[in-house]
Amino acid sequence: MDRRSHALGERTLTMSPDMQIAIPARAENIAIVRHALGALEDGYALDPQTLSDIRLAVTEACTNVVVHAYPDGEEGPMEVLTTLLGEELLVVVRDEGAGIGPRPDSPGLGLGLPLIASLSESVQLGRDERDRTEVRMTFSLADTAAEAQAPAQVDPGAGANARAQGDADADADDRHDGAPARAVLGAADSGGTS
Amino acid sequence: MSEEPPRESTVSLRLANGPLVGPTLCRVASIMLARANCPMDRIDDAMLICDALSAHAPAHAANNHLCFALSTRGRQFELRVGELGERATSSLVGDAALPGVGSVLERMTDTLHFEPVAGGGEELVLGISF
Repeated sequence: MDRRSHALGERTLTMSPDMQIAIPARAENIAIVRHALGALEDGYALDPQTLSDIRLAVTEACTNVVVHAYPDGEEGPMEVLTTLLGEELLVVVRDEGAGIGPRPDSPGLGLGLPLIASLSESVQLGRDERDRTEVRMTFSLADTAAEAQAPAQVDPGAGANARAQGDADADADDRHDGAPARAVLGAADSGGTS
Repeated sequence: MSEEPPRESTVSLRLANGPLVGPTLCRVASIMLARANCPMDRIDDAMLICDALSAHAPAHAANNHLCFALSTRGRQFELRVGELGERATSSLVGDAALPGVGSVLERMTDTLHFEPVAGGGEELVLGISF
């Protein structure tokens, strides 16, 4: 665990989120979460690229909840929380399922968590004080603001992985620079997630 | 448009008083109503209600945040506004009044009432039929 992520986690334990969405973990409800996240652009003046990255990462995390968190035929809750911390946005996707672990029969390609790690500044997997499974992602808002003011640089290879995920309603210019994210995958194994 | 009855849907929101209240509430309400095959004019009414709530409800929040429970069932939309202070709902309804129109919350909804909450405070319950 890197120091910054650890400090962030401790700092946010006592903070109330700016936005908390609680919704049944159904596939059709992921679109509601994505639509609600658009409020971040209105409320915090996020640039479209940052919002696109956040939406894609949250979509992957929510998809993992829908597909993996609860046994087939059972439905449970899913929560998405966002908290603005200075120039960073903390996003937590939470469920009350069995947790994240290896799943040899996973229907997915196992690319979800690596994609989240590449889109976010840091990602932590774990359980909260009530033993709920959490994916905690942080996104830098300062970097994207600076990029928005800098001259545009076209990288034809960037964003290929993100587009390969088939996020159909994400912005068409989905892009990220591929720099290694400070991913903190902890003891959890991403093999069981899509 | 499909004649299949829309699936019942429920979303709970907890929003800190601030810039996310209005956009989040409007976005979630609009997508839920659209999925429930709500006519456009009633979606417009719901957006006016959401705008009025986001403008005036934060002043009546008991703990610097608001809770909303949105649900669609058949052709009914219910919006509960929670964690309001004691006797806050009548003040909130009055705050949303426009000259010559009256309270937007009363004019645009089919049902409006409040429910006391255990431990103090009130919950405003708004209903729209379509």
